[in-house]
Amino acid sequence: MLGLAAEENVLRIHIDELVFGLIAFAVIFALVYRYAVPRVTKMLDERADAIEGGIERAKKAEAEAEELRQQFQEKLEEAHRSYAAELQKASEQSAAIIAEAREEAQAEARRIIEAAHAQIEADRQQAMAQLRAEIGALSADLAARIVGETLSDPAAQSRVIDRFLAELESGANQQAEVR
Amino acid sequence: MSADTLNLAAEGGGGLFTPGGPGFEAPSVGIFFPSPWSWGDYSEALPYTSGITKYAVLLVVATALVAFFLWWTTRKLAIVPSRKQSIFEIVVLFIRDQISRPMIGVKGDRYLPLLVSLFLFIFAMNIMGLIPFLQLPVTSNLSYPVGLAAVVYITFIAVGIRTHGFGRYFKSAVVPSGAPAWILPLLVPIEILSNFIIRPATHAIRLFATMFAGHLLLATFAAGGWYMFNPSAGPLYGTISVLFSGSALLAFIIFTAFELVIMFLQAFVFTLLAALYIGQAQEAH
Amino acid sequence: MEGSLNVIGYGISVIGAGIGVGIVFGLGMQAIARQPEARGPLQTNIYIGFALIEALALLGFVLAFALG
Repeated sequence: MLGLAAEENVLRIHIDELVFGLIAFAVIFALVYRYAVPRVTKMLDERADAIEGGIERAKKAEAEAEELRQQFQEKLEEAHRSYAAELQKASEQSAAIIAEAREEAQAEARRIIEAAHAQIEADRQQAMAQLRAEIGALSADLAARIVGETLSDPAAQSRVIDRFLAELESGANQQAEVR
Repeated sequence: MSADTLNLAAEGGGGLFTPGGPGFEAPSVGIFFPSPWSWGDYSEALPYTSGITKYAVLLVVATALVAFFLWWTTRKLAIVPSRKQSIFEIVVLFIRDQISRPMIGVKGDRYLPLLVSLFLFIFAMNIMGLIPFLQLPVTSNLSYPVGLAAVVYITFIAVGIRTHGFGRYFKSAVVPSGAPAWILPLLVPIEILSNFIIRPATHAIRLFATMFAGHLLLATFAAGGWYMFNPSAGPLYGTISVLFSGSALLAFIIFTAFELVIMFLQAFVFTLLAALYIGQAQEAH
Repeated sequence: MEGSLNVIGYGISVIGAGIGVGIVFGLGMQAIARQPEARGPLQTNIYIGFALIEALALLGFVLAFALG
């Protein structure tokens, strides 16, 4: 054998070594079967679960974020809408206020003008009456002085005065038309 | 370096270029027959035993190594694995995805503990051949591979019988489907021989033979390198002998790395064939 | 010159097995390269063929020692 003196056949199967080998393998198999592999496969399953759960969670979070974004968008649009409406309302209001104020001012102005007109008219009437009385007295006085004591009769006196005044008035009217 | 140290070194070395020196003695197969220790020597009393030899001690070392590896890597398991845990997970996933799933299918996950322990045990026994001072692969003794092959043999026959029943399993294993009837007398003995005799025998011997040959090769390189180391043979011959010795040392180192690959490969192939046999027994054909 | 003819015989017998294993794995690789999706069954068959051919070399090895 290989040109050498061999003590025994190389292809030997020794019973004791066979039994030792089987015992050693049984020990290792028991360790692997009872202890190592079940724990590791359990751990691998758990890890797969954890990773899948993580993906699930991430998806859920993404959906939530999307929903929030939607809500936020809606709120933002609503805010825009309400802002525009407010703006519209405010501008309408301000226009209304301005119009009202203008109207009031115009009414006030009209009222003041009318009051002034009335006052002026009243003053004029008053002045006219006063003037008429004074002019009567004055002209009577003057006439009396001029004519003498002939016109002491009051009836004749007032007739004369009225005629005089009518003339005077028509003269005044003619003057006003000319003007 | 004085001549004395060279002489001293040459004393242990071989006798290349030494006239009348010792001839080269290649390592014999005797290195695979360590004599039993005196306290465990019962080999004379019982037939077919060898007593407690270096093999038995290395077997205990290998077993302890695997047990320590299992304890060390799976002591604290976490969902986020530590480095230690990853080592064992890589082993388990490698065996599952490269051996168990392709050969047996997803149902083969049941046999994962068997395959993992076979792989780890064989690899540990092989690696004993590379550990300094131990340097004897346990699987280079045929008794150990035979035990493992017997375990696989019994397993796959049991799996076949349990899956298909006794008669159907042996019929499907022995009678090839689709063969004409007249050739069956020729085919059936061949199938019996190949499936139930040669298969377990080669399963065991493949592992044994590669480990045996590899170790013998390494031993030859080491012995040859040492034999040729003879620097005291004069300036010219001494240099030549050292060069020879150095190349032998280089080859030794390269073949040691090669052996490591072979050791892994043989553990892988043994496990793969075990899975293949179980898978064949499981699926009806 | 001393030795055993068994060793030479074994060396010669292994040539055949070596060529066979080379063909099995070479064609196996080619098949996988052509159809990578059929890798699983191809690998199984490669290893069945490898085991059968290796068995012949191992028988030679056994006989070389057993008939020594």
